[in-house]
Amino acid sequence: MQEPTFIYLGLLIIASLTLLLIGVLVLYLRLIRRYLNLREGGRAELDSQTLLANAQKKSQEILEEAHKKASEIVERSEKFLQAQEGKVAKELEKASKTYANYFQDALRRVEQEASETLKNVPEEIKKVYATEIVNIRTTLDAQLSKAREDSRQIVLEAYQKAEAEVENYKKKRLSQIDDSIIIILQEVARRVLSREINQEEHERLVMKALQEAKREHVFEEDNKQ
Amino acid sequence: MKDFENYLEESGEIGYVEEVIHSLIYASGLPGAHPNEVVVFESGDLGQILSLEEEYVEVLLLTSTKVKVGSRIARTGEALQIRVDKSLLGRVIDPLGRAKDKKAILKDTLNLPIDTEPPKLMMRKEVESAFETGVSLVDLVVPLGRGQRELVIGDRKTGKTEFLLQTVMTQAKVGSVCIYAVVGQKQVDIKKLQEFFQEKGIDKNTLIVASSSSEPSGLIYLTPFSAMTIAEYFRDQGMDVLLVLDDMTTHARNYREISLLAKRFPGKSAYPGDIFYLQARLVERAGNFKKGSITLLPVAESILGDLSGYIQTNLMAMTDGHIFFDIDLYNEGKRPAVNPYLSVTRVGHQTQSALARDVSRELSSFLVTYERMKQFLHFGAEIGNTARNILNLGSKLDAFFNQSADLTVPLSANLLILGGLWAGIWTETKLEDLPGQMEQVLLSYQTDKGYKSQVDELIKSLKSFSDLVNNIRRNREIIESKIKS
Amino acid sequence: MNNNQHIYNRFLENIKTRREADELKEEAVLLKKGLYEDEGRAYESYLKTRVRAWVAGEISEVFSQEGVNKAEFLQGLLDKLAGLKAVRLVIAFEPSQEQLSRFVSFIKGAAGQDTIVDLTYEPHIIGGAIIVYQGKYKDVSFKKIFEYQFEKEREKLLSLLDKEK
Repeated sequence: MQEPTFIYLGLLIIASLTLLLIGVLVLYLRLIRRYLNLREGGRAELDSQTLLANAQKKSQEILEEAHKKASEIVERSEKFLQAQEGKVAKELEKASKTYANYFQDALRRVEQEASETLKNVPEEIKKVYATEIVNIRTTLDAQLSKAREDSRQIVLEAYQKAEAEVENYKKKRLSQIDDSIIIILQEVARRVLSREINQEEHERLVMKALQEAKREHVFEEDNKQ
Repeated sequence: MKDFENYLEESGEIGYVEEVIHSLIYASGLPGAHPNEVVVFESGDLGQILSLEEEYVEVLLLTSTKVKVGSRIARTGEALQIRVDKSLLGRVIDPLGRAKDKKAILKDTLNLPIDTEPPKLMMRKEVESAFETGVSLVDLVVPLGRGQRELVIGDRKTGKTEFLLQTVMTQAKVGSVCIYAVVGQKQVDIKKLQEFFQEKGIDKNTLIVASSSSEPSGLIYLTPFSAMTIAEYFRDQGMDVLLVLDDMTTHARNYREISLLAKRFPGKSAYPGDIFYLQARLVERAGNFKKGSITLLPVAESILGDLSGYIQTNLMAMTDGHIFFDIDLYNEGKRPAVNPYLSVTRVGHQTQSALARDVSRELSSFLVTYERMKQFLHFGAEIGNTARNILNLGSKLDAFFNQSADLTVPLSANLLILGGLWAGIWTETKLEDLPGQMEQVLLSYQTDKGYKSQVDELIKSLKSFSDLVNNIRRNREIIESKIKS
Repeated sequence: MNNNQHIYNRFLENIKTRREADELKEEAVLLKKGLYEDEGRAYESYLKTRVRAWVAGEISEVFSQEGVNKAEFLQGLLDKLAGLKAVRLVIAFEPSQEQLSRFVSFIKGAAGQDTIVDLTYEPHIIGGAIIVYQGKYKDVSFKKIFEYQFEKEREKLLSLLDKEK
């Protein structure tokens, strides 16, 4: 029985070797392809360089054309501008002239009107002012007289009040004086009297007082209360 | 001087000043003097006899001039009296009836004694009509009645005076006579009070009895008594009177000063043993009577929210309830800073209509629930729908109760807006827009007479809170028509 | 002790005014002090030199009796002097000694022996007296009447003056 196994093993080896070979071939072919690609690229590179040079030349031509066209346009526009300037200036002159005329007319008209109204104003103002002044004068007069009256009243009242106060004060002072007179009289009378009463009379009076006190139980003991 | 000589003649007795200790005078003589009698000094100053000893008479000086030793004293034979008259309204007077505003001296009319016995039982009547303060929180949760004595207690600068001024504004507008007694405060505060009344246009119904802290102790000690006497005069004319005593702790301190100077034996916290008697016999003179009523709002200052102080507990025992201004709530920004859980009204609920009473009950229990929910929220647990609704409604209610110091709200408007809140009118509204909308409703109520009568009719006709809520639910336009977005 | 009362009254008879009472008090204090100074010898010297004649005389008489405790007696005298009641008398003139004695004896008769008179001279009251005793006040002077009359006659007086003008 070992023979089939050897056969199988041999087959396996051969298969794997074949596979390996195929694989290597494939890789080799890929490599070749890549190499070829690169080579073409190099050629393409060479081509690209000429392409670049062409492109550059073309672009320069375009630029020159553009420049030419632009200068033409500029020229044209300059001319146009000049023409337009000339027109505008003319128009402006015309317009300004007409406006100046208008303005002057208007000014003249306004002047006239103003002068007229101005002439009238003083008249009117004069009238109004005149009446106003008259009014003011009358009111002033009235107020003045009223003020005069009032002040007269006030002064009168104040005077009356002052008079009344003075009267009052006089009365008070008089009564005060009366009081002091009474006091002085009292003192005088007192002194006179006490001098008048001689010792014996004094003694008699004191004894009388003592007797009255005794009568009214002043000298009694306080035991009841 | 003439008066002194006259009294000397009439009484036939003379005393000489032997010793002067601050505002206490010890005098010899005056054998027939009685306690609490008024005496006149040579200089025209007045004093009141505090007590009688074997050798001396103890006199409390009522003016601030210095009395010299050796000056003469005469008895007047009368107890302290004050002039009372309708012309007192709109004025500022001191406890002896002398004018403090620079106007003409008052005419000599009726003189009433300052210290009298409280009226007996037969003259009194049950507290039956409501007393509106214009502050929503108080009118709904801690309502007051005419003739009630309600203590206003809180730390300093917690908004007590603002609350009192709102009450005075509301009451003056309905025609009650308002008497504001300023006991030993700064002069500038007295001036500000006077200007406030003038500015609000209510000075025709108000009267200020004032003693500043620089006046003699005797005068400060008399201030609430004088104010009460004037209140009694107006009550006897058939009017309803509101009397504010600002403040009783200063009054107690002053009396302590006088007692200690007079060498009385000090009791608790160095206060004299008769401090309760002194303030109680004053507070008992207020109440609801057959002729008129005196609603008394004494003010007490607590220190750091301590309600267990001596004078504070005394005053709480004498009054028919208290409104507590909490410094913590004030610091949180609540105005008025009234703590509804610690405030009490003993006779206020019986004056409310059936609807108002029901609202009060509902509101109180809701506030408790809300408070509990808020505590619960601190744990950060997830809250269900019910809790969330309660918190929402609670925060809207907080916004409703936050009232500025110059706004007064009538009770019917309060009930309407509250009913609207419960009926869900503002469920979708943002919290910032709520106050503005409520104010619009309030404004309509105050300006539109037709709307006002409509609302008043509705409130009068309903008997319970649920009726009100259902009614508003059914016709939402009654509120919504007044809200312009 | 009744005996001593009797003796004390003898002293008091000579005391009319507060000034005299104070003088006697000073002398009694001095004598009492002297009993304990210098083993009792200072007392003798004071009695001779620093005390008024009549006082010295009375004291010597008392102490010459048997069984008199000097210190006790002097203390008793001081107590008596302290317990004296004063009557304040305001008059309009300066009385002579006899007049003063008469006033004092009347007062002592009315108010008791242990009273002294506090005399004040005030010409302002013109006449009569103002009496103050134990807080009671009595004005029986001319001043009141005088002022009253003047008020009534004020107008008349003024018109008189005007006429003279």
